[in-house]
Amino acid sequence: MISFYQITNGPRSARVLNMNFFNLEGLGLVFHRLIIILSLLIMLTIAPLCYSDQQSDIKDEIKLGRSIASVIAGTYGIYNNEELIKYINLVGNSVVYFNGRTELNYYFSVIDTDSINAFACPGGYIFLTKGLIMSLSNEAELASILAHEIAHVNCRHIYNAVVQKKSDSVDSILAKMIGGRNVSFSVAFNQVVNKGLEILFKSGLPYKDEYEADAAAVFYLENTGYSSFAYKEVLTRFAGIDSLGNEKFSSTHPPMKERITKINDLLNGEVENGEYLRERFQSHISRKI
Amino acid sequence: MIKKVIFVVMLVIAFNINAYSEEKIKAKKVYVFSKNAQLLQEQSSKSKVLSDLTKGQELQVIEIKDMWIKVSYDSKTGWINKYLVSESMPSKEKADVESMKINLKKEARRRASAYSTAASTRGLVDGKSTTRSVNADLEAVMKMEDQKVSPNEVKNFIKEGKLDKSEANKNHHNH
Repeated sequence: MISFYQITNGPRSARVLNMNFFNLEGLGLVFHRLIIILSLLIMLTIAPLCYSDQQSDIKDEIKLGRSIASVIAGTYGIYNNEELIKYINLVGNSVVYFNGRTELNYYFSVIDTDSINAFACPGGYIFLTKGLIMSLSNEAELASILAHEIAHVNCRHIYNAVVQKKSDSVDSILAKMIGGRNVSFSVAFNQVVNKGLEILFKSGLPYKDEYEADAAAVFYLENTGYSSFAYKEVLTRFAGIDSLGNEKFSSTHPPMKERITKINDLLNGEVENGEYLRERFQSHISRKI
Repeated sequence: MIKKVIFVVMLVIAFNINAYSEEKIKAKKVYVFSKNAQLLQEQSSKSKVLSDLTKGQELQVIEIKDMWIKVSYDSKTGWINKYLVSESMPSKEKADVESMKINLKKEARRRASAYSTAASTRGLVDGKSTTRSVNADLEAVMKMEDQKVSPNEVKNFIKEGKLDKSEANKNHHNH
């Protein structure tokens, strides 16, 4: 087989063959055109992939969040009280209205357990336990807990912890080009989901992420119109519950004392002027649990 | 000639990928993603408001100090809280969750045990080991998605609770 190099640079007979075969004055023009067409094709192929990568990344985040949420819902069961869930969604989405990521919907639900805890899954799926809701005394405290979880979603703490940055690389783009979503992708995806569950249930996020979510929550409350002091109050109460040994819910979080100290530093010098909305909270909660 | 073609093609690929990578590098620009953001004179939410910022507004970063970022835009320089901005332009559209529901139904048929390893080692209450099995309930997640509230319901809820302090704050800051 005569190679391209041999045709263009080979013996005279071959060059003649080449000239006759293409019936052109030379190959230069053809290859200039070929280069231009190839370049355009590559640009047209890669550019949309780069452009749509953000959207694709968000979809991956939602898909991961859904899978983690399904395990939480399946393990503990949803507390099926539509009125209560609607109220929680209204409070949560009020915080989101001022502080949420526009590309996401945020969903809030209640899991049927008396323990005190809350979970944020990637993509905007947030759960509170029934026990946690029963331990709150006003809407600002409820908003505080939701604000902390919303901050985890906004900062993509869990997503960034479980999705290796390497997957955002050129390999990923090329994999998409050749349709790389195969069986091994689904195995890898399950591993990522398990990693997310591991963080939520066992190892927790790095302390810096928790402190960041606390700081953001204080700011979100202020920005929404709730009293940011409510956050300090609810954590102080939880610290009391912890010290009594009735419930231990903070082993995946930094020590409560440290968290409260940092929140105090943020609130230092602030004037308390936000809403607590005790009556609205009581009227909703007492009727609904 | 072939070497030239390969060289040019590689150059084009490198150019495209490099341009993409640049986006990922810590930006010197940030974008407002909050509906309630102001450019402030100092690093405090009580500081004088220099200007109201709109969602999606691009800001040039000058300096970052704790929770605050010094930015400039439209020949103004001031501070904004870092929790009100993102490094990427906020998308105007929400991710199309509806189109993903079909995949979710497919996934529901998968064995839930695929996700159960970590979850079954610990319960929700930290420190208490549990041996109970874990089931993924994707239907519950779909119901959760259906229970979302409308933007109007949220706006009314905010109004009823007299939560939106942005107008009041603006007046307060400007005095």
